[in-house]
Amino acid sequence: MSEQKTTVLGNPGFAGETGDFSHLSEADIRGSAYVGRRPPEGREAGAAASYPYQLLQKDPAARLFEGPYRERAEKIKSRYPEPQGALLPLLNLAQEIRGHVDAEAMATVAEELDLSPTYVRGVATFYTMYNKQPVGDFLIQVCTNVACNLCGGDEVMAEFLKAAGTESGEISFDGAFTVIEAECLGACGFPTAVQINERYFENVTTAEVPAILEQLRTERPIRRKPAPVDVKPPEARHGAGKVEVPDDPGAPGETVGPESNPYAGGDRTPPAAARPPASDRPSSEGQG
Amino acid sequence: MAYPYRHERETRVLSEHFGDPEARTLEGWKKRGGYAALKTALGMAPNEVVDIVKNSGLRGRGGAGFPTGVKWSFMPKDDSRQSHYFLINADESEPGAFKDRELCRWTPHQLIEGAMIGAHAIRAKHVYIYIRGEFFEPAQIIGRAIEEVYAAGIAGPDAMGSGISIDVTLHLGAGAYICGEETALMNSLEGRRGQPRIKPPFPAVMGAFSKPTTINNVETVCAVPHIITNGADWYRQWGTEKSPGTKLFNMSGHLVRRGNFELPLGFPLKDLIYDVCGGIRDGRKLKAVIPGGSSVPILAADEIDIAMDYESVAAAGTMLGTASVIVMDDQTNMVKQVRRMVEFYAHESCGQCTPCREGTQWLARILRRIEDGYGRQEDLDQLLEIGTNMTGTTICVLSDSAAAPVASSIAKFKDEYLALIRRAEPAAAAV
Ligand SMILES: Cc1cc2nc3c(=O)[nH]c(=O)nc-3n(C[C@H](O)[C@H](O)[C@H](O)COP(=O)(O)O)c2cc1C
Ligand code: SF4
Ligand code: FES
Repeated sequence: MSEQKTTVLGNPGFAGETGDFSHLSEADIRGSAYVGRRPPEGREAGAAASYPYQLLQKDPAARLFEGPYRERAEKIKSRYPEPQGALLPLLNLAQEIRGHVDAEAMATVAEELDLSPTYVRGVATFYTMYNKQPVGDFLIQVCTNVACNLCGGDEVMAEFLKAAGTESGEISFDGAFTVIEAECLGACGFPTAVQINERYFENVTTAEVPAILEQLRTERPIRRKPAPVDVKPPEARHGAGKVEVPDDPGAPGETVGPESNPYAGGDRTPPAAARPPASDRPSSEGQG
Repeated sequence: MAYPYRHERETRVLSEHFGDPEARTLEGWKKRGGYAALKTALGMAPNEVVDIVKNSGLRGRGGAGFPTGVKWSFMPKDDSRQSHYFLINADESEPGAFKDRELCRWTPHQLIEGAMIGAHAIRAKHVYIYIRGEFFEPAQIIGRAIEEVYAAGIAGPDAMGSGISIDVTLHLGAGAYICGEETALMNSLEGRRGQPRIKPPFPAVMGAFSKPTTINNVETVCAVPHIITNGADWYRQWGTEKSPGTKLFNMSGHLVRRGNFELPLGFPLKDLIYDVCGGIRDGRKLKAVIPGGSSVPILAADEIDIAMDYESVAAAGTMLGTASVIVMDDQTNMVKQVRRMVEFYAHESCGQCTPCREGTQWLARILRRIEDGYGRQEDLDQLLEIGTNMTGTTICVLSDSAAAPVASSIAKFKDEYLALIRRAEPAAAAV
């Protein structure tokens, strides 16, 4: 598998690429074969909170905690002696489904846990990982903290902004990228460390930045025409109305694209129930 | 050369199976002797487990170096098991530290085994592994391992057929360095803002969900299965009398070889830099070393003749912390790097204490001003004064951590600050 190692996912550098472990592929290093397919409803309750994918396809208008996500939410809640313990995992789950956590999502989570929306807002805004606004398909976080900075973190950050043609924190014109500066990512030995959605890129140098973005562009989902899902009006969303779900998960409307994630085999597509028609999505989402 | 270069002077106990994907799986881990220690421990009384760990002299690897066995012995000794919690701190976000991530991604079962032994020792029936939200990949690997141990009956209501109930839950943070502080982590686990609590009450009396709680770092618990299997004396063959055992040294910065190297505590810092890590990149000279992550005072190049154990590093006026060694070469702009570290603390301050919330912001602003060439003559005194006011006056030590690199860099690299300020003075006077 060694010939795949530097090209398979277009990651120019990842811990393990050199040194004694050069025989390992990126998939070995990242453990994707071991992790395997992760169903949206989760398996063991103790681990169910453990995989908030940042799904490539974000669905800002999706209903929260329905279908398999309901099952997972219940599993998560079963793990805490007090319901409030599930607050962070449920916000994570909301972000997994929608790509960001807006006031409405916070209110839904609050209702779920019998907390006040203001309280949930107070908690959610404390943590940096909850995107309070939509972000691009790829959220690029460049570490510029000291260990990376010594090895050129600032320059890599500038290069990402230049190559993506965007300002820090903004969504690029094609909806693909949001670039932000990050604090230490816990990969200081492999500078510059860059986190792109859930994936780490390590040992990134300025020269590699354009190629990374090019690679990411090819990984963007190609969005087909949405399936004719019968969606109830918004007032039916919270509990009252039951949503019709088509049985065939492979119906048009499915996101298709190259297998894009090192956690190969992980199911990247949210269930059809979580997806409203394209008209509900902001226009930048429709391009692809 | 990058990670994971292995050096012949390493003593690999915890990191033995780094780079071995098979050791990740339950089957592979068992083949390598895994879960034998848990089986042994579950057959012992909790006090016996605590005594072995106490005798081994294992000290917490999360930064403070508190003896682990002693910490465990603070827990109430009632046998009801109803309401104790054991928390694993995998929130690693200290700039310079990257050991827990490697332990989590390569040896998830080592972590779970150690965590369950610890839970038995403190009579807890629930372990929470609090991992920082950015660590998706390690979290997925641990999540998979948890599924495996439940399926195999290792965790759950009847752990390994012992009749003892131990649950393991993975909990993800959401991006806040301060949640690494033990009481902030508890608040975060309970679904609150991650703000540290005032102590007392200490966690062993009232911790997570208001119940007696013990918290340990990932690396600390990973050492426990080895100690149970091989005994306290075996562990004491490495390190010094007061700092026994091995430690992962996280080497970053301007080095030829960066990465994690497992070595006995007390290993000479000079050898670590020049032998194990192959010296400074591009034939440059050493300028400064931060020996324990960005929160500790900086050492100048002529101060590195020390042994890397808790006592010796403290004697040199700094701290071993997480043994995260950040090495800077002679081209380093010290003011800029200190400014970057302080900005980190300004960003991560939870905002409860005025000296920390305000002080970190002021430090960052003044340092930025000096760096940009608008420094004033009185700025250095001002920085030191703010730093003094930030030390020992707050709920947690984040505030002290922010002040430490400022004070030590001014003490050791004053010329560099002055050079920038002198350049600035005429301009500043003209405005
Ligand atoms: C601001 C701050 C941040 C901390 N961050 C971490 C961390 O990321 N990981 C960690 O293990 N300990 C961290 N600690 C130390 C913990 O509070 C605690 O001492 C440690 O988890 C105890 O485990 P140990 O006894 O095994 O070392 C931090 C402490 C402070 C004050
Ligand atoms: S010292 Fe800073 S981080 Fe710690 S509790 Fe006070 S304000 Fe929060
Ligand atoms: S400083 Fe960049 S990952 Fe730690």
